[in-house]
Amino acid sequence: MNFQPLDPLLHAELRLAVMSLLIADEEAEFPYIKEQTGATAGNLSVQIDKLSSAGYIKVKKTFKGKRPCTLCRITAKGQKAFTAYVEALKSYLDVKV
Amino acid sequence: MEENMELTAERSLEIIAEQLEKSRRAVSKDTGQWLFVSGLTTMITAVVVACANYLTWTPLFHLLWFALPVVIWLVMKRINRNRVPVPESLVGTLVRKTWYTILAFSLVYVVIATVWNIVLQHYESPEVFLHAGMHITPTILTLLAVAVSMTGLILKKRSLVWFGLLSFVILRFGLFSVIISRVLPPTALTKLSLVRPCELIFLFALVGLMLPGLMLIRRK
Repeated sequence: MNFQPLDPLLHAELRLAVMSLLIADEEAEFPYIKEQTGATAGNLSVQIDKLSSAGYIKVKKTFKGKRPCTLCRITAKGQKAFTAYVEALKSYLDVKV
Repeated sequence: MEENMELTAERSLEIIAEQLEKSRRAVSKDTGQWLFVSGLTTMITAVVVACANYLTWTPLFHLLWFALPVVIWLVMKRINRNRVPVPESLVGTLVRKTWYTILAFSLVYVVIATVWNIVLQHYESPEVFLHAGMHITPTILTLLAVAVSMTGLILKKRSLVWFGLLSFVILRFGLFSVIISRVLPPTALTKLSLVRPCELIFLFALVGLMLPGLMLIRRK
């Protein structure tokens, strides 16, 4: 059986959850991602930084009224990496599509 | 959720499926709130318009319907004031575009039908008007019932599809009109023409908007 390598950046619970969420939603605010993943703000910030450094997501810091607002959006590179990760997963599960 | 490098392939797929479902659920809840608020404000407007028209013997208060979208928008803005906004997603976009299309059709139909009916009333006999006049309320409510069912299909909520269908059946059934004609004396019935579409709109808002909205909000 030929197992494809899994992207180590995506093969972590929280980072995978963030990427899955951003695949479904075009653009999400930091509090929304925190609410949906159930992660702590600190941990989530670290993981978002890692994904952003890899170019998988784009982080935009703006203001909503007077409050700061952090927006996350998946990039084309991130979409490609996510697709490749799911394809690689199939080889482990022996899924025939 | 912690960083875990010991993920199995099954767990990875579980996480992906879980997050996609959470995203769909967030859209469902948001849609539920829109339906609930729209239903409730429509029901209140129907009662206000019916009472005002009945008491003043004039159909002028039907103009209040035009204020309805603004009221719904203001109420939703107030409700969502301190909430984390639901991001744009494919499911959310599909629901939004479905409603925009239906509302655009409804608006165009209302304008064309109103102008057509006014022209017919002025230049043609009542018999011609009876046959050629455009029925506004049942047509609009049919379109809205279709939108409710389509929303159910997009959100994969089968009960919403049935609510849409049920509201369509109810609005064609005319149950309220039958009850009212039995309960009220014949003299009062002539006045009821001023109340006419309100009972239908009230019932539709209850079955087609408010109840399914409540169901989506309460669903865990």
